[in-house]
Amino acid sequence: MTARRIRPPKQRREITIEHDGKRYPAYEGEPLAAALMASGVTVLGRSSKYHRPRGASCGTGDCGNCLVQVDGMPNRCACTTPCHDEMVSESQNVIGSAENDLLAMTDWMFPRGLDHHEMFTGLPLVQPVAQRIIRKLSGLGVLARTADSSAEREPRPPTIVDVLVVGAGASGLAAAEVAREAGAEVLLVEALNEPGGRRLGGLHCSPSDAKTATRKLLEMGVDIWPDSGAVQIDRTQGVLEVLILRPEGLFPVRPRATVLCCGGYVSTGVFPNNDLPGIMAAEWAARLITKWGMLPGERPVICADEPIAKALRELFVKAGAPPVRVLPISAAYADVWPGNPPEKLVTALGGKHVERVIVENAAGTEVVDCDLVVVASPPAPAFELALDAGAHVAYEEQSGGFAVRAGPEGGTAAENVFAAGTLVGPCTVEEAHAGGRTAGEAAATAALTLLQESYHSRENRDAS
Amino acid sequence: MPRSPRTIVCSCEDLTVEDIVQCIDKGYRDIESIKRYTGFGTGICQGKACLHLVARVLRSRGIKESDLAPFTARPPHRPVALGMYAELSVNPPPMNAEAANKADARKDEGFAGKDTGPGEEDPSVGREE
Ligand code: FES
Repeated sequence: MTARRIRPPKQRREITIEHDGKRYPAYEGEPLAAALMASGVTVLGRSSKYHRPRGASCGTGDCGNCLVQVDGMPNRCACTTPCHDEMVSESQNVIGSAENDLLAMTDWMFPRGLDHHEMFTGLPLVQPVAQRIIRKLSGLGVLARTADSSAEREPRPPTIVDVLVVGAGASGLAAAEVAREAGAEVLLVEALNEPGGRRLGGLHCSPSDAKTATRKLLEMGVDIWPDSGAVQIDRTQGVLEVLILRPEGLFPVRPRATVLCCGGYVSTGVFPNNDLPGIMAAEWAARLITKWGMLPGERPVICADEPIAKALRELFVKAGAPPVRVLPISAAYADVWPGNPPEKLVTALGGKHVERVIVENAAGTEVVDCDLVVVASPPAPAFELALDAGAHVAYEEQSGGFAVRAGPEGGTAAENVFAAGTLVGPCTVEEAHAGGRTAGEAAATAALTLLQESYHSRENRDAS
Repeated sequence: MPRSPRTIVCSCEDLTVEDIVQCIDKGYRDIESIKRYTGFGTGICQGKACLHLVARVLRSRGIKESDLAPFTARPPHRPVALGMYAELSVNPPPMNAEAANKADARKDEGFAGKDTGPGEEDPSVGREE
């Protein structure tokens, strides 16, 4: 394992954190997973059933492979939890440590899998005992002993805005800008700790583009909430309410119109041992390098199509770790990819971290030594909020996901809910930007029409 | 400890391509049934990391595109501490004052509209009644 810090992140204080009883150096605000990786800790936890080693793989808080107990709170994502001085984290769901977990024996004891439909069932005495043990083995962290007294706080009144934009990627940034230009009051929420989306890692364009766009929005008077993920949409008596999860709690927002730009979820391929630490999403690897000065591996294998493959290659060469092999993205999904991919990633190998991959093509089979596999999968649309709101989705072959069905202006089956970017289908950053602009404009028009209507009806009511 | 070479499609519940294929062989050929049988999508990610992989497995095993639909999305879509829900007021405080203040501010920005004194309800509330 040769992940290492190539340069300190800009303007960050050096601090100390504790993980599983050991002390590690870190930079304030960097993701816990990045800090631990810098000290060679890449096994962050174990999977629930077979106790396979797991590390940070998506980097966006979506996959649940990097869960740790942080300052007493279970199930925090190490990939999105920022470090603070004297932070204490522990691995969960292990006997021993994440690195050496006794329970990992289940993985080799049951090579053909564990079927919970048949195991220990129907045996009157064995079943309850077995169940108790199984529950214990597959737990997720330990609850804090004392409850947070936050429930006694004053309830938060809902925030009312004309246009709420969910997600500050290419489409969200564009939608917010246009809606604001049209005269709407705009709130832009982003689940990660800074706006930029796909642009952050710099694979699609310079990350400074995202900074410039953000600065412009702030100057225009757009309200931007980072660290704020929309977790739920309800519609009661015709009023749409979005719940936003921030570190301090849940914030209800009632927008007149909503633009969903929630992007998509990445994955790391479908091949044996695809869950080994050291196999990660391209965007996460790119963000580690560009933003946190963390090189996640010395000998990367890259699975990506152009133009992202080129951007990744350049990124790693510049970081002093030229790729040992570049494969088309289909190679990482060969078993489930439509058609017959020319190359195939047959398997990844390694104990607790990826050590080599086997590649097969027309020329034969090849073993490639590596310590990192970077996968740039087509993102699968994050459609959940859209479904909450009442939009429709349809299967989308390229990502294997379900894309929101939207009209030419981004309108969905849900009233005053618009969608743009990856959410409506695979797109380049430029296409996402253009889609965001159209949807932002339509949302502003819808919101302002609503506002005008309510003024008029009020005037009429007052006049009569 | 040696590891078994599994191809994981649902990392929360440790389900493999083989598990899904067995499920198809047993006659479960849609996402909802496969979820109920295997438990995929019921872990901490709630389907974010696995739904599209299971869909790919189904497609590659001959299931028609038009037969694929996601399972019901159940909020919250990210883990939320229960205390945070407890903190939300069940009956949100009336928005009158705030909404009215906003409306006043908007009038100054040049929006048509009569003075709406405090006591008016928010324009977006109850619009559909
Ligand atoms: S949730 Fe942290 S790596 Fe996926």
